[in-house]
Amino acid sequence: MPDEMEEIISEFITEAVESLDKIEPLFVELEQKGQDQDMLNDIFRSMHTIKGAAGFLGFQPIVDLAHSAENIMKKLRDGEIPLNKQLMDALLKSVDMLRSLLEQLKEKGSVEEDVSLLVKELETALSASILVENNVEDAPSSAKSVMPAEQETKTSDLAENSTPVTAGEKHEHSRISAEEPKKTPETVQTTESAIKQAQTSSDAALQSKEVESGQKTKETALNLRVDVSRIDKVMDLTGEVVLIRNRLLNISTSYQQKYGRDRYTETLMETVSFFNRVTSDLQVAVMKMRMQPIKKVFTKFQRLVRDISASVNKEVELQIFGEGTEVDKSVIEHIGDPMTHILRNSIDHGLETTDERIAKGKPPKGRVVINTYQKGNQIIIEVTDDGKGIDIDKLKKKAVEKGLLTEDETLSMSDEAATNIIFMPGFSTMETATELSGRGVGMDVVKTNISLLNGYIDILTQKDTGTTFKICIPLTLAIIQALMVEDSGTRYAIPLTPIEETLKVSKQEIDNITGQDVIVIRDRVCPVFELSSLLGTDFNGKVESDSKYLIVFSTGDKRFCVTVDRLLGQEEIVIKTLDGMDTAASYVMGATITGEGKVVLILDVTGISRNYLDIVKV
Amino acid sequence: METSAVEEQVLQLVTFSLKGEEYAVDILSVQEINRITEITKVPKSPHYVEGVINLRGRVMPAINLRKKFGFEEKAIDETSRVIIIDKEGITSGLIVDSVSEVLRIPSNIVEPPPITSEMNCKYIKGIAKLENKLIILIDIDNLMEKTLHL
Repeated sequence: MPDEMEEIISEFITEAVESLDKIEPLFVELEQKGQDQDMLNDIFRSMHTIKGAAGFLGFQPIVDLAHSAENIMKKLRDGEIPLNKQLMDALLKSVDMLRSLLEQLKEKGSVEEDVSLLVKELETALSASILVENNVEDAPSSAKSVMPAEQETKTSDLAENSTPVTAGEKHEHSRISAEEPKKTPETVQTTESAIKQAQTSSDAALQSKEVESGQKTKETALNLRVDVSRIDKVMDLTGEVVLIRNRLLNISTSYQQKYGRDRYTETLMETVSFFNRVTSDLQVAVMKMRMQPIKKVFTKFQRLVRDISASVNKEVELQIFGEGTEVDKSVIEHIGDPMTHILRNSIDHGLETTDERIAKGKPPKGRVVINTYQKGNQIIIEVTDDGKGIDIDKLKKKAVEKGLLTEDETLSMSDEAATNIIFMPGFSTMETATELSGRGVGMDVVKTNISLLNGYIDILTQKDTGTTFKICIPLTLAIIQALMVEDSGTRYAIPLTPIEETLKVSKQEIDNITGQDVIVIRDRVCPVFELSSLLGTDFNGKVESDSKYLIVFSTGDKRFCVTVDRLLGQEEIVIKTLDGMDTAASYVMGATITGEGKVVLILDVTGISRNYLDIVKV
Repeated sequence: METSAVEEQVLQLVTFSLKGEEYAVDILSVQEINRITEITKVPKSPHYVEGVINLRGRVMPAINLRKKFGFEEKAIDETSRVIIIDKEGITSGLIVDSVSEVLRIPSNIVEPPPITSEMNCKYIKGIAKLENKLIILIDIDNLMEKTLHL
């Protein structure tokens, strides 16, 4: 019994959070577009559902809060009061509060928060609005809003009668069906035709509603909520099947070489090649199971942009494209923070104030565009603002002032390298720190978070035209591009991301300055390490030769080189974690398994740079 | 897991040999026993960590029990086996000279280890006296650290 209850509660939380996720952007849209019956209805119904379920489960604070919010929504929907900023703020606050209540419920299993203050605030906002509305009774706006509202109520009443609104039912269909009545306010003057039209449209609405809800029922039945751990298990097992497949391929090839066109060998080859195809399909199918539309992260951004732009007094319009692009679950979990920082940065630093924009002849309203698309095995997310662009000279000056770079260093820096200054820890250009950004934390976090996802970030900027942050992340975190190398007779994999270039150099090119090997690459001095001495493996089978392969790494602002015996080529590898082992000290971040079933260690380049470059100052 | 448990209790053990002596681990902590495939050395690891092995797509450390106990080293040969130990979901391998059998013994024939100052003592849970031989019971919980620090 307690288990069952727990399940019901967790179901309630999931559904309530989903509803909030859905209505939050609607609030913001509502504020921009003004009175929109469909949206009001959506929000009203979501609130009502949350209230109902919470009431059934006995979570009083949630009920109280949802009830007050619902009251306001009802009055708004019925056109009794117009929407104003005070109301909107109070409503958004209640959404936040509901979120934190749900969070609390999830963690502690109960809610004890006192919501009376916020309930009061909602009521005050409501009564203030009613007061204002009554004062302007004769104003044409009220007459206008009452008429269509009546018709709308009729439509929705009809609709509600025909299909009971349940918790499981979502609101997409009502948005579609209510599209027609939206036209009514425009045609209010010509009464005759207006009524006729309203009637037909509500009939149409009713019809479409029936059709839609029919489809909807089928759709819900096709969806299944599955525990993530189960999917991960399937994914692990699939990984094993893939490895067995690889071994089978190896074995069958050797059989073929040994027995040639034998009848049994032929059958074996055929079966293995079929198995091969099926396995590849299975792998793709399992990967898709973990994929979710990136929309999940983006829904909160409309609200975020609204809040940020209000606090810095800038008018900002956020446009989102490609929110249907699907990415791995882990990407969804980790991309939110860096995206938030980038948006803050774009609005706070990128966009000019309204006055500046007018002076420059730009539209007064700033624009930020998020564009997401898939390119090969990568997901690209671009955040573009039409602001002033990054002032490279100012960046350099600031970096010197802060002691992050020397003047000489900035002089030899390319513009592209200079834009990356903003990712340096402890860097911030704003004269005074604002509430949002300017404290020098943020953009360096962005870079770190994105590299955790095995991705990278580029900046494209043009003066007075704007700046684009381009994030590239691999489709899935389990697979990365790696450079395979061999050293002291052992194979290693090195993630491709921190590698700048690979070179073949002769021994004479490497100099030694006070005990540290260095090499000059295009006028820049780089420390050189031998992989075998980094890993302490120089005792076995060291190949002595006059030329060495040099891998140039850049992690953050640091650059260094590592020599290896051989470069074996680039490969796509599956990362396996080393459970139960703390390998931080051995510069190993994980392992991968080759087609022959051999374990190859993946080197942790960041760990090497952290450990060696703090000591060596070049 | 108490060795001085109720009389009727039966212990199921997997026994193996190491330097000519018989050892045993509780069968409940054993996931499987395999021949030794290729082992990949991990840099900067303790000497008794032979490296990492691939068990059907899972990568796990393999501990050489001879080295861990400070015995003389012996090259891995045809009879060598790796016992896969599952401890709270974390798996790792124990490399032993050979695996003998699965044994059922009443728990009352197990005696606590002789108290000596020897370090290896903490890895021993007790000694089972059988008619013709002694079997040393390994304390897996003490032997396997929660995370192996390399």
